[in-house]
Formats: sequence, structure tokens, C-alpha cells
Amino acid sequence: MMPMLESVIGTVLSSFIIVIISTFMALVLDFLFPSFSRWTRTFLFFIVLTVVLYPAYEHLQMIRSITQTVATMFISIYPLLTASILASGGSFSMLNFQPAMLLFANGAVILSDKILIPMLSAALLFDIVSRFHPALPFTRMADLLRGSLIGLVSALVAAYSIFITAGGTISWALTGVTSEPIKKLISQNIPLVGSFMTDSLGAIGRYSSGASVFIGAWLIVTIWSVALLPTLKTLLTGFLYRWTAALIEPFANEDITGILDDIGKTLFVLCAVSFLVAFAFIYTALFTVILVKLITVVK
Amino acid sequence: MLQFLTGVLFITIVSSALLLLLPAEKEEEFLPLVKMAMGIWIIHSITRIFGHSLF
Amino acid sequence: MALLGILMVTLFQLVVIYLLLLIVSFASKSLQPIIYAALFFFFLSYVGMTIIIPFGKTFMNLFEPLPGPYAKLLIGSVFLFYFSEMIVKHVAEAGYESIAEIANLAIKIAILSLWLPQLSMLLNTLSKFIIK
Repeated sequence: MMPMLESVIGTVLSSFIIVIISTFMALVLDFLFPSFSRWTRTFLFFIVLTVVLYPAYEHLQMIRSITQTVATMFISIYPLLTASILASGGSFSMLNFQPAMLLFANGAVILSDKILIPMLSAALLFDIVSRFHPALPFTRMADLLRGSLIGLVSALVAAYSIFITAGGTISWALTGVTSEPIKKLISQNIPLVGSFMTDSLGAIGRYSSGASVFIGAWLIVTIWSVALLPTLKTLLTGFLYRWTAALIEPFANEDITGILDDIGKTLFVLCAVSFLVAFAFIYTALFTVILVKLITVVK
Repeated sequence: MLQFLTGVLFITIVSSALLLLLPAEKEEEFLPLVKMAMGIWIIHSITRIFGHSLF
Repeated sequence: MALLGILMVTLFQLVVIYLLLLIVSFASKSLQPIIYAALFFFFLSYVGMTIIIPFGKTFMNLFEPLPGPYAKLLIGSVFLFYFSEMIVKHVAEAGYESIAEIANLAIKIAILSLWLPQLSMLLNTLSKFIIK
């Protein structure tokens, strides 16, 4: 956990420091030449944009490449899977795994690759344009895009949980009474995506518990951490953006704090999208592992 | 932490009292200096509070 | 009570200066600017000595608990700024606005150089993060 934290902070910290230094530079210039302040604002804006946008863009690119990897993985193993499901006959009826669910999960991945992530970059662009030129505001458009993205993602996750509980045999410990306060805490404290995260965590948990009968617990932990690491990184980076915005608000230009806040918001939504992808990845991986186990044990 | 908060409070009080003394059209011109003082104070306090874990 | 006396004296001086200037403007039009300037600087130094600087000192003592030199720097720079503004305004009234502008910039740079140690300390701390 700690090395990951350090690497995340290390990638964004230097750009935030540059933002702070250039803010002080702009303050000095503003004091010396008050009539130049509009020019100073423009220059400052460009500096901040070039420095701050890069880590966010990198995250977008990272999630995108993960999405593409998951999609290709699924497409390449899908014929194999269907053939072996047919071959193994009715041994799946004892599990809560449905092949249709697999198709659904990976459909979501392809959806997020083709629609969700481009929409997210469009929202980011609209935000920047409306901050840069307040006379041409696109804020409603950006909010609409982000809101509909969140709606779409949560609808997908709701559909997942319906699928999962319909055939569920064993329920996972996270749904128990003890974890309710923790879930409440998460859903209230992470803006926008918190409640969605706890819901989908519960859904994934219910699934993994069914699978852990067949495959070792350590394998599940591995799959979980591999799938959820990018999501956690994105979440942490989004928080860093918002923290920096809060920290520099008293002395920085309003546009700059606004930009940082907007990027943070967009990263939270990206985190939700990547959660979807991680979910599909976990599902596919567990499905494949169980299938392999079943075939090797039964035959 | 307490020092940080008292610093923020005092800088706010000092600067608002000083801005009352200045004529209204010169207020805008002096504001960047006040912001700079606040910024330097915040950054110093933050590095002092979290400094030992960052360096 | 002493402060009230000083205020009364200042107001009285203001009235006297105003009357004097009016009389001068009747007596000799050509001498008026130089007398005006002399009276202005005299009055400014008197008010500065008796009211502004003592007030600044009490103000500084009031904010003694503030850690660091921030209160001193802020108060000092605001009074410097105010004095320079006054003189610059006076010069501009006489019709030499471009000279006043240059003086203004010079005073601002002087004020910033008061802040320079703090600023360089800040930049040092910040650049440590980048290099690391």
C-alpha cells in the first residue's frame, strides 16, 4: 500500500508544486503591474494547464489501455469458453455463474472503451473551455455529460447485482451487519461515486465468495488487487487534485482552483468507469479459473 | 496546528484592518501582497506540519 | 486624551493651511504651486510623525503573538505603499504623471524586496519537493 501511495503522490506532487510557484509569481506580477493583470492571468492559465493536465491525461490513457486489454482478452477466450461450457454440461448449475453475465460484463467494457471514456474527455475539454473563456460557458454541458455517465454506470452495476443475486447461493461477509457502518462511511465521504463503489464492492464480494469454494482465497485476493489497483490510484489522484485546490484557494486565482476541482471531479467519474472495467475483469478471470478447475477435476 | 490557525486568523485581521485604511481604489492594488502573505504562511505551516514525513 | 489633543491640533493645522493657500492664490498666482508643495510635505511629515508612525507601532505590538515577521512586513509595506501613493498623487497633480508612475514602480519593487527573504525561503522548500 505504501509504495503505491508514494508513487501516486510522486507523479502529481511536482506538478502541483509548479502550480503553487507560478501562482506566487503571478501574485508578484499583479502587485507590480496591476494593468497587466489580464495578461498575467492568461499566462498563468497556460502554465497551469500544461502542467496539471498531463497526470490526468495519463490516468485516462491508463484506464483506456486496461479497458482495451480486458476487451481483447475476452474476445480471444470467448469461443474457448463457450466450447468448454458446452462440454462440461450441467456442472455450472451448482454455481451462481451465468455465461450470459459474462457477455454482459464484457459488453460493458466495450461500451466504456467506445463511449464512456471519450465522453469523459469531452467533459474535461468543456470544463477547460468554460474556465478559460467565462463568456462562452459550457458548464451545463460538462455537468450533463458527467451526470449521464454516472447514471449509465450505476444502472449497469444495478443490473449486475440483479444478475448476481438471482442465482446467488452464498452471501459474502461484507454484506453482514458489521460492515454496514464502513459502507456508510465510504458512500458518504467519497463524492459522486461513493455509494456506487460500496454497492459494487458488495456485488463483487458476493461473487467471489461463491468462487472461493473452488479456488484458493489467495488467488481471489490477487485478482482483486490487480483489478482494483488502477481504480485506487485514480481515486487517490482525484483526491489530491481536490486537496490542492482547497489548499491554494486563499491565494490563487479563482480559475486555477476551479480547474483543479473540475479535473478532480472528472477523475472521480473515471474511477467509477474503471470500477466497472475491474468488475468485468474479476468476473472473467474467476469464470475462467473455475472453468479450468472444473474441467481438470471432472474429466 | 493551533499556530497555523492563529496565524491565519491574525493575518486576516491585520490585512482587513490595513485595507480599511487604504483608499478604495488602491485596495485592489495592494491585495496581491496580502494574498502572498497568506500563501507563504500556509505553505510554511503545511511543510512544518507534514515536513517530517515528506523529507 | 493626548491622542484627542493631537487630532485637534491636526484639524486646526489643516484649516490654517487651507486658508493660507487661499490667501496665496489671491496674492500671487505664480508662487502658489511651490507653496502648495512645501505645505504638503510639511503637513505630511507632521502627520506621519505624530499619528501614522505611532499608530503603526501600537498596531505591530497588538499583533506581536503572530509567529514570523508577517505582521511587521504587512504593516510596514502598507505604510510605505500609502506614503508613496500620497507623494505620487501630489506629483501627478502637478502634471508630471509619467514620473509619478516610475516612482510608483520603484516603491513597489522596494516593498517586494522587503518580502524577498520570505519568498526565497518558500521557493527553496518548494523546489526541494520537485528535485526529490
